[in-house]
Amino acid sequence: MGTTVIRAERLTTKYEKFTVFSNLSTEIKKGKITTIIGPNGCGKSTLLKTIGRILKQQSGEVFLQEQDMKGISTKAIAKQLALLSQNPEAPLQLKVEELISYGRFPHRKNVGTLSSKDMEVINWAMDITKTSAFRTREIAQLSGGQRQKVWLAMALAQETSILLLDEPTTYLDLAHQLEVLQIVDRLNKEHRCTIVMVLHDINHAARFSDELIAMKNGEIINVGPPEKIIAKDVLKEVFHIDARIMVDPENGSPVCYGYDALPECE
Amino acid sequence: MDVTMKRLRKTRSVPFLIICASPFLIILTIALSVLYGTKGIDVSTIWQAIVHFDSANVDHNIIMQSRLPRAVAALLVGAFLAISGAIMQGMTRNYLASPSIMGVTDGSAFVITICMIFFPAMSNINMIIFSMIGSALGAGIVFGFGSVMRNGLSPVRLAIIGTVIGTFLSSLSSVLATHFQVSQDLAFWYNAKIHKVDPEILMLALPIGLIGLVLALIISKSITILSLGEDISISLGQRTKWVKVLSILIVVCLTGTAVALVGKIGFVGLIIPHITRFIVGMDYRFVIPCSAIIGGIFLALCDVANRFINFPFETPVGVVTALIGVPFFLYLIRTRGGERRA
Amino acid sequence: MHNKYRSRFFINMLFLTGAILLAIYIHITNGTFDMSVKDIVTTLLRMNPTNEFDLVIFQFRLPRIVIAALVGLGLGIAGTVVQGITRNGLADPGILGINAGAGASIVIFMFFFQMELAVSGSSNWLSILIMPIFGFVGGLAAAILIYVFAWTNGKLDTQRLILSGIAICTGFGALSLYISLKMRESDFEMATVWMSGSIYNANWMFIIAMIPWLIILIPVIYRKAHLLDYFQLEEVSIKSLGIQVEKEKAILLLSSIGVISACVSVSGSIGFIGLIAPHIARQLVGIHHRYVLPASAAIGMFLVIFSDYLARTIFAPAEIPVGIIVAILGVPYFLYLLIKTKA
Ligand SMILES: Nc1ncnc2c1ncn2[C@@H]1O[C@H](COP(=O)(O)OP(=O)(O)OP(=O)(O)O)[C@@H](O)[C@H]1O
Ligand SMILES: [Mg+2]
Repeated sequence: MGTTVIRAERLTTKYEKFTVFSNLSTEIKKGKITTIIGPNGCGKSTLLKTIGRILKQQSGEVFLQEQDMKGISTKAIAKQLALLSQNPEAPLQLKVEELISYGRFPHRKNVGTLSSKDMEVINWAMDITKTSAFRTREIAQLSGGQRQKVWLAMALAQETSILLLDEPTTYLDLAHQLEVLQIVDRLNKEHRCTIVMVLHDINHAARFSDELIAMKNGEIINVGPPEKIIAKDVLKEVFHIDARIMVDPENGSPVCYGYDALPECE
Repeated sequence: MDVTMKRLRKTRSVPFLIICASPFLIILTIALSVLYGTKGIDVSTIWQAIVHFDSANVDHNIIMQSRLPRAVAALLVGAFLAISGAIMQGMTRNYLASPSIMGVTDGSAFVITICMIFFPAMSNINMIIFSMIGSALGAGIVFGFGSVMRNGLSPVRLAIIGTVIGTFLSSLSSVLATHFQVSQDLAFWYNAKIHKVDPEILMLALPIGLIGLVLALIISKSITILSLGEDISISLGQRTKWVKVLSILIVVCLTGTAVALVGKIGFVGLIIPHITRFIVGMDYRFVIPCSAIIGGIFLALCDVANRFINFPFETPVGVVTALIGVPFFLYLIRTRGGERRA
Repeated sequence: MHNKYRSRFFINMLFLTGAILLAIYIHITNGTFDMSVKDIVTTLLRMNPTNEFDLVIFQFRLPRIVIAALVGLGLGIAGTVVQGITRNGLADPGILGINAGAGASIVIFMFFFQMELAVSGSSNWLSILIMPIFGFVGGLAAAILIYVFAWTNGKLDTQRLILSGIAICTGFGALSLYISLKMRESDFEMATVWMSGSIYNANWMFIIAMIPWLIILIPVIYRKAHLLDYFQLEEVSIKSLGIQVEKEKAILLLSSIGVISACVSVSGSIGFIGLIAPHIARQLVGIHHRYVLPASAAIGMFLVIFSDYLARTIFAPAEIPVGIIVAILGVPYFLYLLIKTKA
């Protein structure tokens, strides 16, 4: 069930001559966590960026709440949809709270000062990501994990109902990966955010997502709930591995507890 | 490395072709350069001038005192600058390195300015020596600053530091020149004076240049290894420090002589090595001699062309090298610029 | 949370204003003809004016100071914008060949419209007003070439940017030299002096010609200054915030080219201001462009006024191109900055 919030139809995207995918269609359901999985270079980031109007598609349409995104101003889109890049960069001398305040850009009218509403949202974003402790530090003085949370806070400050997160857990240790995913989960449950993310850890993907999109070589191989995707045959097709799968007795999601590479076969 | 090796194998015949054809091409270039000019001279007169030189004959004098030295100087200077550029680019693994961007030519011109102010009656051989000291000074300052940088010499930084220091030195020169009222003499130095080459300096420059050329060929293999990276070079057992010192000495020698001969000529040292690598690949055993040949012929032909652009007046050769070199260089940037090549 | 920056900004601006006033004071009082402050004040207030003072102040020194101030202001601003857009603290209009493009175009203009006439007879004021437009076309041509050669995958590639900048700079430089050689002797003199960057034939016409450009374009740039802060993020993040990156960049870049052209058309190409002023400004007021921009403008003003004073007096009555003094003053400081900052 659930209504569709983003619908991509027959998308084709290319970098100069190299076509990443063509005629690709998919749907994102409102209020759900959707995770894209697939091997390196299969086009996950490209798909996310195309959906988030960062890259222009060669052909095809993306509909946001049933409205063609080409017809909506980029600023209006930014009020509904935020995207966290796979490798974000900021000047190292920038203060944490300043970077987070950048997220208010689409909502601000006068450039000079932040309104009390702005401050409220920024504080909320820092609370939820637990970044207020180092709000006055410079980006240079943060660890990789802390930085990642600051970037997430900036996306949250955009106050959107849709979040696109490209590998939000890279560079993080096990505990911090979990922490970030729990923040994402909380945003989804408490604030009804629709979330689309890219993850490489399929167990995390299984545990935190309502829906998985499995991609390979610019094609969507399979879409469905974790129980359907985290399965021997799908993983074999997508990652070319022989996975051993069981159900986590604690939370009922499928877990891949070991795998072997399959022999090369052409 | 694999790619490098492949390119080497594939293109080995091209450099041999270039090297074999070079004597013919060089003679042709010299002939063109001697034939064409404000005063038309025919082939038989040239032959006469070489075989039976007649000091009373005006044409013979033009040939031996002006046209021939000029052609030889253009060939030498083009070769010197191209070799210097190739060595610097290989050694620093930096596609922007070149004698004019690295403060070498400005340093040389700076010291020459000081000499003109304080020792106006300096002999030719001293000129060359001081010009070299200046080259060493310019290169020394640029590399000195580069090594002080904490994160080393990235290509972009090197370009900026080199440009900035070069401008600084030439600004100082021109202030000094204004103050001591030698601007006119200085302009004579600055602006490529290829058409007024002094045969005496040329005779002095020849041996120095040849020594530099031979040394460059000797270390060319080490430069290929160095261009693969400092770490690889050390792990292959090369004494990188000595190669670097020797390389800088050669550059200083060749560039200093080039400036002493004809003044500042930019751009040749930057683009010729690029063009050469484009044609013959990455092995500096071929890049260095081919750069020398292509650079020499390029500059000599530019010098011929410049006699016609604004006939019967001479145009500074820098204008011609830029007019021909810039479009080609832009084309190279467009097609292969993103690829990092050393 | 911006209060700390703001007070730091105001303190520095106060200090810079003081420095500028001092430079103006030195500039206007000293020279082959020394004057006291009292003489100047009485002359400016038209209290028993003498012809002698009038001539020195209104015909010679004042226009020079005003032009120096405007050129410094313009180049400081343009440099900040170019560095901000390219995300490269080492980019500068001079290194990118924009100055050279504007310069070449103006030399072409001089060649066809006989500069000498334009300056001596104020009857030919039209050509002075047209000059900045020619400069703009040339600067634009350089910028377009840079875009063509350095644009890959929807963004400017720094490595190609610098390489093609150097090439374009060399090309336009050679073109200017070539054309200036074909000029008549008197025009040639003018052109060479002008090309090496100097303000010494200042007159009020030039000021009138450049002011409209600055009045229109600088507010445009200032209103967009806060965007330069966002441009320091990487492409994806900027776009995701709903900023029309390429459009805003184009507006900022075109406006800066306009400002640069206006400056180049009156003073030739004075290098380094656009490179150094923003760096010094960032050291003083931090990284927010709303503060960096005015600070850089003020630093540019100070540097050019002061350098012009030196250029006029060091070897008086001989003049040295002001660009040379700027280089000698600026380069050591710039290198010091490069070494000091880790980047
Ligand atoms: N800027 C670019 N220019 C050219 N090709 C690109 C560019 N970015 C990505 N590609 C190519 O497009 C394909 C898809 O890239 P994409 O970044 O979408 O992969 P991905 O699935 O996100 O991989 P990863 O898991 O490594 O992040 C890859 O083959 C990549 O080589
Ligand atoms: Mg990716």
